[in-house]
Amino acid sequence: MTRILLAIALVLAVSGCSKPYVITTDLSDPLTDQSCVQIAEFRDLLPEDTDPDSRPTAEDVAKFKTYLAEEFAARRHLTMAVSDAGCPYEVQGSLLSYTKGSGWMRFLVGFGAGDSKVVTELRMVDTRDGSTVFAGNFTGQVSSWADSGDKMFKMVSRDFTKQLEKRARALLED
Amino acid sequence: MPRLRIAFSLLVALLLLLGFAPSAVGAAIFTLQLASGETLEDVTGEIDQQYMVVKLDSGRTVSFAEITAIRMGGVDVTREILGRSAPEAAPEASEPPKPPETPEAPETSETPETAPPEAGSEPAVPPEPAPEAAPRPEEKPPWVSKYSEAYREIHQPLWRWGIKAGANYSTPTGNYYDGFTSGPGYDFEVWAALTHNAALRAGVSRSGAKLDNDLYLISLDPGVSILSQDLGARVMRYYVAAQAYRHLDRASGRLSMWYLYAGLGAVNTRLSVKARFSDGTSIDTSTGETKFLMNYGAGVVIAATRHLGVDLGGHVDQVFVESNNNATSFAWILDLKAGLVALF
Repeated sequence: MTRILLAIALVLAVSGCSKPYVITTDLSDPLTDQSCVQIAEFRDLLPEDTDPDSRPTAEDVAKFKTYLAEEFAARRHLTMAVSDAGCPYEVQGSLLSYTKGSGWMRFLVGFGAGDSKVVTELRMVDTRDGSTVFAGNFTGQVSSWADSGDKMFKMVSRDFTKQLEKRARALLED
Repeated sequence: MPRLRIAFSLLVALLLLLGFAPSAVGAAIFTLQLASGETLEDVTGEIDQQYMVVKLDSGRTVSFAEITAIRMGGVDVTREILGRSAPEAAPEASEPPKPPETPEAPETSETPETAPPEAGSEPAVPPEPAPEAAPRPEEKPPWVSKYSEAYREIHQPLWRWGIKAGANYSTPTGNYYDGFTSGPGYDFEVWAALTHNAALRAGVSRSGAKLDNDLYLISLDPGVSILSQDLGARVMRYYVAAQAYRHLDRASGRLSMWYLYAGLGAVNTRLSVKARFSDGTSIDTSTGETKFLMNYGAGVVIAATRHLGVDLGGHVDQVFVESNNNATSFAWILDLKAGLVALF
């Protein structure tokens, strides 16, 4: 029995170590102007057969953008204020997969039932020449009944800004 | 025995590993059409559905968001992989790359007021073109606000009322139903949709439970014999329930759905006795009692036409028989159900 539990714990630990993101365009130059960043409207690239009532609402997407703005503000080494327009950089996002999930299902059933999941592509574009300076696909998942499904947006926002900050710092230190 | 345990634990670990492993398609050769207009022909790579990217053997990783069409072996697999269709007028494979389309800031600044002051001192050739400057593919309508009329329309139930008639096969269990046996019955229900995934249902059901054939009357008077006897039972249930449902393919407008429900009700169990005796007397009487019940069920409706579907499900009645000293005894009636439901 102990071996079984150990094996389960090992597998869960290994599977839990996978990164929740894949960087598709890495930052190659330092961010030259960190005066501000603007966040564009998110694109809907969800599968066409997604039920209309299973799509995120405008309020959900607005929350996502708010979390992104909060994460930019919380980063110590990214001194970029979020503004509406006229910024040297813009964050563009596309929702590729979205499962709203259900807190009740997570509470009553668990084991993955009712999980909230999102896969999104986030990219930072230099508005001066239109080039992408940093991009990746980020996943967020909420499995605990104690957490709101919105937390997946927070996770994605945190991962995106954290990775951007990490790479920007590394370039500055080089 | 220890070997068996080890083998079992390895099997569990393997199953978990398979369940949690990233879902990646093995290496294959693709032709990718990107939103920038760039075409990556006959590239080898893997599709990673967990992250929704294509990892090319060249080291480049392409997000699904940047891909407008994928072909494998000349077959368009865009919809199967991306979940959305390729644009109709997608250019065919051998189109030359479009050099002038994407401004790369080669030697002069194109936007004078925002040009970086150090533009002239930057290296002349960036490492790779910036295809992202090209126009985005098709834009869908903006996200729908949950306070909008469109949202209310989306969340309208596909049906308002339903009428169901069906048959059941009931099995009563518990001491209260000792002497009863399984049998076929019938039921009739009315459904009312409250939202796009909640409904109420009310029904009346004649359980198929019936008296066992081994039951019969005996005469306690040696001088009187029983000439004929007829023992019968009728179990009628009346209930209301709250139902959660979800359409299997709401986007198509088809009414197929699965559902769960739970509710309250009453069960009336009535016994009837008819007998004729050798002394010329007879009895014809019945007696019954009603008990409180809770019911639970689950099932699926398979739409046959726009308004008519086949309903298949299971149903459980928990009958509260009596309470003594904080102990409640229950009886159960288990049903398998099949019927026709009309939804309007």
